[in-house]
Amino acid sequence: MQNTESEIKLITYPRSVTQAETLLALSDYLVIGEDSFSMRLATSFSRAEQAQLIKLAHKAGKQVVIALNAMLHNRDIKALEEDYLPFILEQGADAILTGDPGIVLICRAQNLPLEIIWDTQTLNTSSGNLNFWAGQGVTAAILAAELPEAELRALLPKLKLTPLIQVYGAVGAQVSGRHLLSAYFDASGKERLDSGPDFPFAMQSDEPGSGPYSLYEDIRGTQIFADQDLNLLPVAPELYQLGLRHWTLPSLFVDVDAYVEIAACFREAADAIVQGSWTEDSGRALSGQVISLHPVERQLGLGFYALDPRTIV
Amino acid sequence: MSQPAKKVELLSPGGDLEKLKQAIRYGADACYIAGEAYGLRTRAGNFTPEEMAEALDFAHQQEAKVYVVANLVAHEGEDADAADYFRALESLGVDAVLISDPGLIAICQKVASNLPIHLSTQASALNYRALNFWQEQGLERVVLGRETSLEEIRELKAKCSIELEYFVHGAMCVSYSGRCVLSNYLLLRDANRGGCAQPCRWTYDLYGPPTGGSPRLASRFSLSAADLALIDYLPELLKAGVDSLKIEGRMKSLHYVATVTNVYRAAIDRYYADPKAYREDPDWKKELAKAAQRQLSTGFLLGRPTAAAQSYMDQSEAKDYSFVGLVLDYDRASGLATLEQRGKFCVGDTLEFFGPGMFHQEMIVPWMMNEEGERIEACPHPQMRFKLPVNFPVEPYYLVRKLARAQ
Repeated sequence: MQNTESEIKLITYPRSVTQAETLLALSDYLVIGEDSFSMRLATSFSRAEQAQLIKLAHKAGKQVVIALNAMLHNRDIKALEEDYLPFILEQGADAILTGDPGIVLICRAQNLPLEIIWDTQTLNTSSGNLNFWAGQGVTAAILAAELPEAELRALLPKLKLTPLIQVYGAVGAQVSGRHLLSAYFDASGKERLDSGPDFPFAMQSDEPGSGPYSLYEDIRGTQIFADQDLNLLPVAPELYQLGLRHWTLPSLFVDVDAYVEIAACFREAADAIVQGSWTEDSGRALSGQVISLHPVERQLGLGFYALDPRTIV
Repeated sequence: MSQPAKKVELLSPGGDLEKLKQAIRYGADACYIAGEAYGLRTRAGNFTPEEMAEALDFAHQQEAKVYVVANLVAHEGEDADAADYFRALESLGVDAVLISDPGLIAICQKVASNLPIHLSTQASALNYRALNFWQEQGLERVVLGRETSLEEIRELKAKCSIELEYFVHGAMCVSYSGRCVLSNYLLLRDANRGGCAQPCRWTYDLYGPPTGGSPRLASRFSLSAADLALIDYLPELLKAGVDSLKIEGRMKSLHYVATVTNVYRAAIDRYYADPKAYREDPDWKKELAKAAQRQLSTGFLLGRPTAAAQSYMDQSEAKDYSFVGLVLDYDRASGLATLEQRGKFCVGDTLEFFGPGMFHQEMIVPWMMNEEGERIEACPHPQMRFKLPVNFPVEPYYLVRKLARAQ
């Protein structure tokens, strides 16, 4: 991923091979992965599907990012080195998405032909931090979703790697190694109920104006999400002016067909900005479409982007 | 089995100067403290430079170490003073600094190359490749993510030569450290910059999947983790090769720090005296229970925790005993102890004096007198000084507790 492009690149997260075929016309990168090594993906793809997706993407002149962004323990690193990494390399995946320094070490030690996109979610908050990883061979990083615009303005000019920004979708707020729903059901003497990316639960506090927070269990523990999904389409021109030209659109909790249409809205917005044909009216219309396509029970908004940093203590 | 070459370090929290000194008196080999910058506990008694110097002087005289925590995750511009800060820590003679932000690690290494760096648990280092990465970067030690099991520790020790520090007692985050921003979203309080409001301890309404009207499944759902207590697994941890056993709690009370440090000191010393004959003393768990805490668990030590490792009931910390006094002096001739009040008690109450080396003894208060020599029935004022007869020898810095509820 280069930082000097004038185009806007979309990074989408397909839920199926069929959906990916449509997404490839709209996006530049696909993020895929499997449960054992990734988290917060809507689908865990089989090896055969991953191989197929890489072929499809390359045929379309696009790239594939393999998500290795789970919290990896010894057994995972072992399985990664012995099994999954050889597969990824053999299939010709273009990049990996990870927040594990151990993977950086592996890639460097073996001089692997894989771009590393740094993804520690909450921790990617300063140029000092991210430039450290740039010095380790990381070429891109997904910025923390909790950065107000003022902080982005301060941080971006100093970055030595390509910044990615989440412009749409659910935002991760906590990852636990415990199965928190199952534990609660067990302690309460209630029957355990399944949860997952397609059927998350929700928790609501008494805090006014806050919540609900989606959560589900996966094989690694429990994922909890912010109470507001992101829609940065209203500020898309600002993002472009800031130099944020790699936009990620995670696909959790969104209907398969709706997600493709949403990606199309962002594609249209991106193209309009680059070509100079963006207007406030067109932006408002596209954003309205995103809102209408998004699940009605989930809030959408600018997240931390519009906040004054001084309000965060 | 033969004794390991290097004795494990008992690392206690030094929330403020008094707690640091007591922790060391009660057996800590090292204490971790925070200065006025870059720490994650904004409400702990963060040390001024003068206090830090005094702490170092005290600790080093006792052959103990002091580590300074600088583990916040910096936002843009917040590292502006970091170079000066790390230089100051190095020149003070701090034994190590705990950092999680790699940007701060880079600054520290550049300006304070003789200051050892420990990777904070906030970085959630979990596997051998990650540990080897940090060793290559020149770090001296890693505080393991609390999600590592005993089996994993053994493998880490076999595949890595960097020092390993592991939490053995105290409160636990329910999230992988550094990966929780619930507080940020709920209250705009940044969990990674010292503002965590601990929403994991709250109760929530829980709803099922949003399919046509989500049913409310519960009204007291909580994420709250039980506290950690690994006293039962001390031999296993020592055999696995952990270099430092860490007690959580820079915001915990003086009573808690002294009580817990005392117990783990006793256990460690007994183990090293004769590993083969090591047996846990039932008194240890009784003593630990006297320090306010939630229900206890083994966390991730034995694998993924179950419901037993969660804390769903009252989230406040149980307090069967309350800390009521600090011994300032004892006159053997008269049998009078001079105490400083740290909680109210009255004539007729049962007190327990306890001190380093697991000393503890109860007595009923027969009478007390104030500094003017006047008899008093109670000591109601914080830090008031008074005397009472104690018919067994006690030492300065012994602590006094009172049973909080009638037996």
